[in-house]
Amino acid sequence: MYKKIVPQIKLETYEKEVFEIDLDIAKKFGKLVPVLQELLNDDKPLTIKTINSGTLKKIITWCTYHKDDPLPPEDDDNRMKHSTEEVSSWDDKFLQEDGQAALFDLISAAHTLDIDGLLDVACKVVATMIKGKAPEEIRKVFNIKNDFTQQEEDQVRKENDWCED
Amino acid sequence: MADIGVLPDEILVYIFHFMLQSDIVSVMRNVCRRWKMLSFSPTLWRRLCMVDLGGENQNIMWSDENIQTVKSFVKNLYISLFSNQGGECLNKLIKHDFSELKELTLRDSHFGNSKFIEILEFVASRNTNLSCLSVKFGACEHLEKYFDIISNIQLRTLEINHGGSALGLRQKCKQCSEEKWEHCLVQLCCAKGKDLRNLSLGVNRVNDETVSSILKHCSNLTTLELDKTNTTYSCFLDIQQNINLRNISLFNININDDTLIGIAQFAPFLISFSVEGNLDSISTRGIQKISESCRYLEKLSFRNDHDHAPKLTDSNLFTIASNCKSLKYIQFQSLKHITDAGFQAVLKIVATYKLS
Repeated sequence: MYKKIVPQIKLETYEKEVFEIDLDIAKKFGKLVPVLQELLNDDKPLTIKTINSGTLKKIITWCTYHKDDPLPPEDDDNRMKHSTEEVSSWDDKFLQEDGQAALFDLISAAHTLDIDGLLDVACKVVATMIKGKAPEEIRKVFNIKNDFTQQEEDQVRKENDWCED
Repeated sequence: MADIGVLPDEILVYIFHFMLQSDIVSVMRNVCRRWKMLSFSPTLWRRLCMVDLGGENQNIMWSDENIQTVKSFVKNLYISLFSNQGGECLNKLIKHDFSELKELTLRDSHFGNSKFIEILEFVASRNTNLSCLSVKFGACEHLEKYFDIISNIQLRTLEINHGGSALGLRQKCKQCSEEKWEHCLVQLCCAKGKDLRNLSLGVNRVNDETVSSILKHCSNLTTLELDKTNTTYSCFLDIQQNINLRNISLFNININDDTLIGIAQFAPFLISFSVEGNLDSISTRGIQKISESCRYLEKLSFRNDHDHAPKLTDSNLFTIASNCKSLKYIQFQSLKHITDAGFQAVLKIVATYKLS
């Protein structure tokens, strides 16, 4: 029989699949931690409908890999320094291997679960994808509709002409 | 399929804040309406704090409308006068009131008449909260006026790098002699006196006498940077202790054991000490003194040119390990006389190290 060694919490995903997560990993879930702790002895899982199973699996993998990382600094000054650190090659590969859609799901889920560290690296990866591209390329890469009116487009063109002078 | 559109505004803004300002101002706002709106959101600019006003990146174009949106969040203004765009910058400054400004960086004014003095004077007269001024490759025309304006600002941080008659500057100033430059610099720092916390005079002609008088007057300094200056660092000897000094960075020349002994006496509460250059004249004696005296060191770094390494022994590392209990980072290069015992001693206390 399965024997509990460490305290675990139960999360139910969009697909109604239940995941058991060790509490020391769930500690990454910022503001959710107190809520989860209350649920510790509860047999009923906490349902998070906005997160699918694939995404939650990724999150567990990420949190396990970064289990022993120091918590991100609280004050703004240190946060700024923190935010200029480069994305590690492990994170970069891990975040990009399943494509864009999975990455945005992951960002939304990290936001919901309040996992600062993951949100930070994932947003940096997206920023890197945007860097150095022209507006038209950005629209293409991210499938964004150009919703400017003709008049607004002309305005943009005028300003850009001025730039090239 | 999830696409970037599913992300809430606050997350998109968080992504934007990792971008270059030039991209935000001239590229991202032209992608779609939502991005345009978010490119000028107060949250984003509050996070960025800094505006590069016609600066290093020539692509950045600030329309009046855009400045209007962000100006009240801007704490840090960066102005490069590289291609003589001083007039335009000055006009923008006059037109818009950057009332929250705390830091100003002015650079590259040595390529001719660039409105450097006028910009400095204007900001100084408007922004009474300005506490940090950084001038790199600054003009030394009208030297007295330039320093006179600075001495009237309540600064805590002053950086004057590649100044007036800087070492290695391609265009030397014809109007100001080295003596005049140093004389004015001393006058300026003396006027700042105890208010000044951080001083950086890297890449300037600054001799020992100058540094010595500055240190005497600025007794509340916590950070001092003297990279690539022509001091011999004997300026630290015979001077009253500064218990506030936490960071010292020296680079390039003339460092010897006496320099280290001087610093050990002058700044016993150092937290970070970095030395770079020809370190031939540093031996056991100097390093012993630093590690005995500066017990709160967290960072100790000696980087040498080629094989001009300090002469270090195991016993130095033992002393460092037993005295500097807060040490987090240590760096030495080209060590010849160190055995495993020395390495092990340091390894026990330090998390990050570079010893080779």
